[in-house]
Amino acid sequence: MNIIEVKNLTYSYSEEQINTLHNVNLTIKRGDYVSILGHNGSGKSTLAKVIMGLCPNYQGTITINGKELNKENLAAIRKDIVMVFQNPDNQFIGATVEDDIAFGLENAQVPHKEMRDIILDYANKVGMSNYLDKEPSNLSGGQKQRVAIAGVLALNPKIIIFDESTSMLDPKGKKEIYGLISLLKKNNPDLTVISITHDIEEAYLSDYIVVMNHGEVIKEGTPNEVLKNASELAKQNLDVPFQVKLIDALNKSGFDIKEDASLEEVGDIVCR
Amino acid sequence: MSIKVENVSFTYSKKTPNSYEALHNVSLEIKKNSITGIVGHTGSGKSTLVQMFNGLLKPETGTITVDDFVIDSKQKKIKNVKQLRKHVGLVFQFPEYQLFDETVEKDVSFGPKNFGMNNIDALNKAHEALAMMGIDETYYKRSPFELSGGEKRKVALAGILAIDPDILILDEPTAGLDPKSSLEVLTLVEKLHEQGKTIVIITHDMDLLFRYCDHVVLLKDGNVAFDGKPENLFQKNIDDLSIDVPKIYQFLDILKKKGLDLSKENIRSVDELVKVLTERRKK
Amino acid sequence: MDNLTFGRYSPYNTVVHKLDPRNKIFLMILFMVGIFFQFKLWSVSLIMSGVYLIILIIIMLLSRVSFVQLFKSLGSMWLMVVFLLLIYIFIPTTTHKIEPEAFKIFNYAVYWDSFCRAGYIILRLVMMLSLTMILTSTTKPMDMTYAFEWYMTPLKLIRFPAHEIAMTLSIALRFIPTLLDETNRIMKAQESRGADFSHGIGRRFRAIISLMIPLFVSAIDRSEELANAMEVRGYDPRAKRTKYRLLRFHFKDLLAFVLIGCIFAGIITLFVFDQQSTGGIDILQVIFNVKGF
Repeated sequence: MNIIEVKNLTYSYSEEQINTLHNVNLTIKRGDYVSILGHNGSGKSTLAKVIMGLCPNYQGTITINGKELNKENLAAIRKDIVMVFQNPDNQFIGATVEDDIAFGLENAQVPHKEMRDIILDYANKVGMSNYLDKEPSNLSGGQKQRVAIAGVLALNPKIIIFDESTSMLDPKGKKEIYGLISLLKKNNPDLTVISITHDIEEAYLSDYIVVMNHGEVIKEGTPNEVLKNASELAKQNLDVPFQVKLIDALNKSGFDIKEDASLEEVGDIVCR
Repeated sequence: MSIKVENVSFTYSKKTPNSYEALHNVSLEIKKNSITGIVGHTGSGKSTLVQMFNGLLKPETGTITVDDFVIDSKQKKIKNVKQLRKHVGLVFQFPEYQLFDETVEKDVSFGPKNFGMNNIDALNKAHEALAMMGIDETYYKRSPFELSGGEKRKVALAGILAIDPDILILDEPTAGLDPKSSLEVLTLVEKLHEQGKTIVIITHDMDLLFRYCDHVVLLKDGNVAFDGKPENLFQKNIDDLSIDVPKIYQFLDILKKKGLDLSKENIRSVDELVKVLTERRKK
Repeated sequence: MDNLTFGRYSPYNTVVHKLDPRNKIFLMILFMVGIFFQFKLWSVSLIMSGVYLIILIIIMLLSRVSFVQLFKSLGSMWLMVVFLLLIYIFIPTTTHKIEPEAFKIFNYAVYWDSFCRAGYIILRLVMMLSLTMILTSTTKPMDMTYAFEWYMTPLKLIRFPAHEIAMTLSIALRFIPTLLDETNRIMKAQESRGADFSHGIGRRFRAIISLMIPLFVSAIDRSEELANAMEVRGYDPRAKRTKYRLLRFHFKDLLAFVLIGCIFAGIITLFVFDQQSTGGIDILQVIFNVKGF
């Protein structure tokens, strides 16, 4: 079943400007892990913001979990879909880790008595239960992002969007977040994850990839379908995953390796 | 010799409960006209170290010699700090956050003017630096705040280039940029290197390190954990290191486990790897 | 950044820390009012100041507020001390003056009385300062905003945006360290471009502009992202919210309340008696006379 349906979406920030999004059509299946790829200014972050209802005045229709996105439904839709932003500092609202996780719960009017347990539970899920009373200035970027994830997960969403949430983190922080996302998916297969990124190696891990350029969807499909052609990726101003680059180069110099072979399989072939 | 660091230590917020030792007795040398990569995870002391190279921080113990400048922990104040900052250009992470003037050219000429140039010379210098960054004349009179992320980064870089430093230090120059802009920035760095400048790059990007650097320093918890050629960085036990192992070395590791040890071949890119593999196959 | 340490929250776990912030604020104000009651007689004022000081020192010891920090911040008060002294020297008062002359400046008689008065007012200011310091270093900034919101609740009736102000305050507090870091970073970045923050007015001005504008721009960016993040988590300033942090009035709060309340009542009683008394012996006068001025 489709959890998100976007039809003929066109959007621009101001009237004089050219369209940031142009006639975007997109469907996302429930429980999928979808990566939206594209270079800076391709419109991928704007798309996420429009879907979140942060940018009204668009043309086209957006349906989320069976409800059309409009003013009346906005509050209900916000219960289903949440977003983790790019900058770890700018989305830390509470004074401490527990207060930050509590923020969304307070808005959702969760009774005071139940809050403590929920906070503990989600802090535990993201591995931050030993840091409950810590202030953001004493946490690393990766830890802050984990708190942000706990903060939105506590609202029990059906869809979670990561808007370049790892782009300001160091490799360790990135790994922490990737690990956490796959753990979340494992524990809750119904959760739909949308990741806006230009990290091609991350996109390689997802179920489905949407490539955007100049505000349009130019390609979509499984990672193997989308990422198999090294030269075309480079043309779209995207990095080529190491695996694709390697297989491509080996095949050009006379090897015969399947496009979707794993590194282990490639190893077996070249060692033969 | 360009930069020589001898027994340097540094502690933040000394004598408070938050006291934290960022560098512990670090010694290293960065040769003239090299491209040195400094790697290590967040909090390993990389930024602290490079901030000493242009006198933003003073070592607590030890000495740093940058060409003719000597920065000694025993001095009360760093001598000739202004000339030092003209000699060593430091580009901070996300330098686009330092843009402030009304127009691009004015912003870029801020540096040269601070170092004593008159308006006209400074503007000329700014135009030169902008041209080097591939920013054309139509941008000169525009506000830096209305540019795209990649363009802002290039203008900010031009702001340092306009000072014309002999040593250029870049903290994560490609962070947050898309592949195209990254490549443009790095190509420029390579060009500056060819012009004879000494380059120091702080990075998490191992592919960048292997493609551009001829010397790498790995910092771990304020200590030098490795100092040498990039290709030797991963020849030790890979799991020990606190940094991201490039995919190519993960693959070489797989090959090694399958009985094909290529560690003596000094492989640094996919092309080199494929060449070695094809030749081996022909044999 | 060292001058910002005054009154910063110090994370201990003392009785004073555990008191309800609403109670703490109320009692602090009560104490301050008490300190500023003016007695007719010097002797009474002197004795009462002694009593306040002792109570203050006891509270400071209890709450582990550092005396060193207090004295350090007093150092910056010297200008006010000089100013007060000048006022009291050149504006003579007529009531219960302590007569003996201290010395003469160009035929202008300077009385000991001026010094006593200036000293007395400074002493009271110092006590107020230490009270504020006790409050801020034993109460988390966030708890202060909660208390503030509670006190402002009645004003909601006249549509005073108590919640919005408290939320704004708490976010401002949350972002102070972040913005300080940012300031530090931009300053260093501009110094690397040769900006000079310490020499010459013109250069300094340009340097400060090069710091303020980027800081401002980034603060606006941050606020936009923060607003989005808050909206995504369902924040609506007009909607009802539940609270994770509830302020609780404990037994120890009652105890503190009664204690300070009694002291305050004592001060008032004394004040009333003092106002009624007409003569009496002023102790300072006695001391100075005896010593033969």
